[in-house]
Amino acid sequence: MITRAPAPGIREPREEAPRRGIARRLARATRALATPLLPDDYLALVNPLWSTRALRGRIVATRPVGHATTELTIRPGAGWAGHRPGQHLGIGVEIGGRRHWRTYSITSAPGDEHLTVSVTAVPDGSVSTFLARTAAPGELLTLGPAIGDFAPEHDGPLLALTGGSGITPILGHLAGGAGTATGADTVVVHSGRGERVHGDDLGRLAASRPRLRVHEHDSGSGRLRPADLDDLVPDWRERTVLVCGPAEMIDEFSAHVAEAGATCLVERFRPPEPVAEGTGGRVTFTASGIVAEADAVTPLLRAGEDAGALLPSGCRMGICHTCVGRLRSGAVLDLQTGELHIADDTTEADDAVVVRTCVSAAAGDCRLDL
Amino acid sequence: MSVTSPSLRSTSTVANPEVVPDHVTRINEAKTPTGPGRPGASTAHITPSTAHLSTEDIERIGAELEAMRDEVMSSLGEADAQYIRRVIKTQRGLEIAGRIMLLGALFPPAFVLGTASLGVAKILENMEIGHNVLHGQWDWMRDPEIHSTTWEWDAVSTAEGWQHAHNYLHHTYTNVHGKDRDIGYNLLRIDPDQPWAPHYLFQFLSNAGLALIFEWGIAMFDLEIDEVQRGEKTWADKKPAIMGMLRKAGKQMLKDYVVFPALSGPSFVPAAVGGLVANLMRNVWGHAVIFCGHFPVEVETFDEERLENESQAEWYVRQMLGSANIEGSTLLHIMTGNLSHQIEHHLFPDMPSNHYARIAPQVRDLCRRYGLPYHSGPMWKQYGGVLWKIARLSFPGGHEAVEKRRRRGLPVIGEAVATLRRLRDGAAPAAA
Repeated sequence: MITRAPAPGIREPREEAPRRGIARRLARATRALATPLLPDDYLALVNPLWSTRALRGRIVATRPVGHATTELTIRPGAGWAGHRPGQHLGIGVEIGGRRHWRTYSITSAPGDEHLTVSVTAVPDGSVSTFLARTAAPGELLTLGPAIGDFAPEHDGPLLALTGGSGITPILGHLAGGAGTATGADTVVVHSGRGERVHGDDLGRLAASRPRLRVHEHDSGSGRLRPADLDDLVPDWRERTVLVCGPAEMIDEFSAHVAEAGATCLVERFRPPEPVAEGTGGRVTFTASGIVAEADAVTPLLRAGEDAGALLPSGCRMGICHTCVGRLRSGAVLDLQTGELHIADDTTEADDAVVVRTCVSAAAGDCRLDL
Repeated sequence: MSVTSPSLRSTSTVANPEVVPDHVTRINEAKTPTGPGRPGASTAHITPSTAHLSTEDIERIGAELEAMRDEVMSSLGEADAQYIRRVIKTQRGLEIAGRIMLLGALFPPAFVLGTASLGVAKILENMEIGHNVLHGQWDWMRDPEIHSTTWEWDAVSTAEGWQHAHNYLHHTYTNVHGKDRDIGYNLLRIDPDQPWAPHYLFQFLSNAGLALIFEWGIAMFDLEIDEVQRGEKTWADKKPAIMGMLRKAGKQMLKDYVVFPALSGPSFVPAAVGGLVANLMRNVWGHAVIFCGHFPVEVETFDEERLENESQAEWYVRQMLGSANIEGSTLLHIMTGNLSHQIEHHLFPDMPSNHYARIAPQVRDLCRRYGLPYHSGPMWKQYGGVLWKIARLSFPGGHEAVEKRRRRGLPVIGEAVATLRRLRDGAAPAAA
């Protein structure tokens, strides 16, 4: 994940992650020696994990947790600021010399020495296939910071409704202590068809945690319906409901829970279907001068990255607003809201038009201050 | 690349040089989209070396070059990424080795080896890494650590200022009188069309001086102080750029002449001298390579009116005629940052430099087939041509002498014309 502009660069040396005592003083003194680079650029020659300039991680173990799913154990480098249960992170891998970013839920506990994520190889998915099938211990990855807010604000009882790989952020909560003697009382209702991603782990946890109940539903025999909740979890209305799974499932259950007046948090892995189409056009990114041809449905972020621009990005589905940039001129269509944003060079800074590049497409030629 | 969208370098931009895009223009994206035979087309593209070519021929040349570019750009992959990372690693290794040896600079062998290692590191950093990264040649990797928007180089000029002056002004207006403000035109009379003045009598010396302080020359040139002299900008406009440059230069000086020598303790003076010599090595080498790229005597210069409605293909031809290559070993190519393939670099400034050597024979063959000169020669010959021109032009006149040597560099036109006729008759009988 690329942090918010300016991109992690040397031209504007960003604040280095806090280090302790001697290390910090040394780091400051070595700045003068390393200019115009950073000391970290030289440290990275010895071990890339020592650099805080670009957050890196190394795969230390892989473990199959489903027929197409692999759990990766990653040692994060210096500068990893930790995470909270339910969060996800961007993982950058290089394929064909180009860096590609994807987002995965963190399934390990905060404070663990290593991070774990689970990657399911999807057909035609170059990054997921690489991570799930090819990547071996020793592989160096680029990491983004942990982001996301898929966690209740209090320690009350939880109900997790998950489908397929939607179990992963809940595994993060379980790793963080949900369902243990001192953790939140937790019920997990997990739907899957045939394949049980992390099925064994779930079974093991259910058997050992006093305040955790797991109900596994085989959706091959019919989908789970909101109406089934009353039988499965009679007290669900008193719980904070976390929903993660296919889009229809999220829509159906979150509406039902909201209707009952209970708290509902959702986590999506894919952006909602676009409600509108742009017209495509020529997109200029003013920071680099890169010009990209974008079609009607390709998000500006994708079009820019494919043309070689370094752009900030986060969730890549319109939630986190990490990727936003000012529209300098032209028109841009928000694919999720159908809203058309228009600016021209006379638009005052106070009225700046800011667009989410990950879910917006060009509606004619436009220029973005990114 | 679209030929229908509005261009950053439309006619109005050419007519009004102050309308400059507010960012660094990617040259290959910013060419005039007008085609051949368009209304108002200028005939200024017809120079002695292109007089035998029709507009269609030039368009064909352009199409062939586009195809060459597309082929390379779509082939980029892991091997290229490994190449640039290997060069960066080597450069940083050499720099560390040089600095460590200079810690004991009182010991003569350590002084010599340390200085050499540091000098080579600085050359690699400026040429094969800095120059090329700042051109965006490696942006396709999307690695923020090797990207034109984040790179800062080991020179007193700021990357940002250099990108504007070099990537935009020099690469767009290559060898155009009064437009190309690449280093040299400010200080020296490098083209017979520049009016003579008495101070040019000493330009052989000023050139040597410029070579020694080349990085400062670039930094000064990037500031475009002449805009203030002409009243286009005020000192207040220039202040941020000047302050930025001074800050950068201060850090560079501190590192080379204070911090590292201080770490060397008793070796302070020889260590500082080592840093100075390394900087001089880089300056003299950079100066020689840059001057060999555009100023050998055979290389053409162009009139401003040529820019009027210049088509993309004509732009390509101007880039080829206005640049010169240096022949030599792979090591020479890497040490020049592959600017020894100046022709290929000017055609495709954002193509990764490790591909220039591969396409150079194709470009040379293209020039041969169309009867165009392909200026290429060993370093002694190219630099000799530069020095001869500087010497001759320190005196008034020189038009005939330069023109004579220029024509001598042209290929045998007759043969080329015959080839072209055959080609044209075969390709498009209607045009015969």
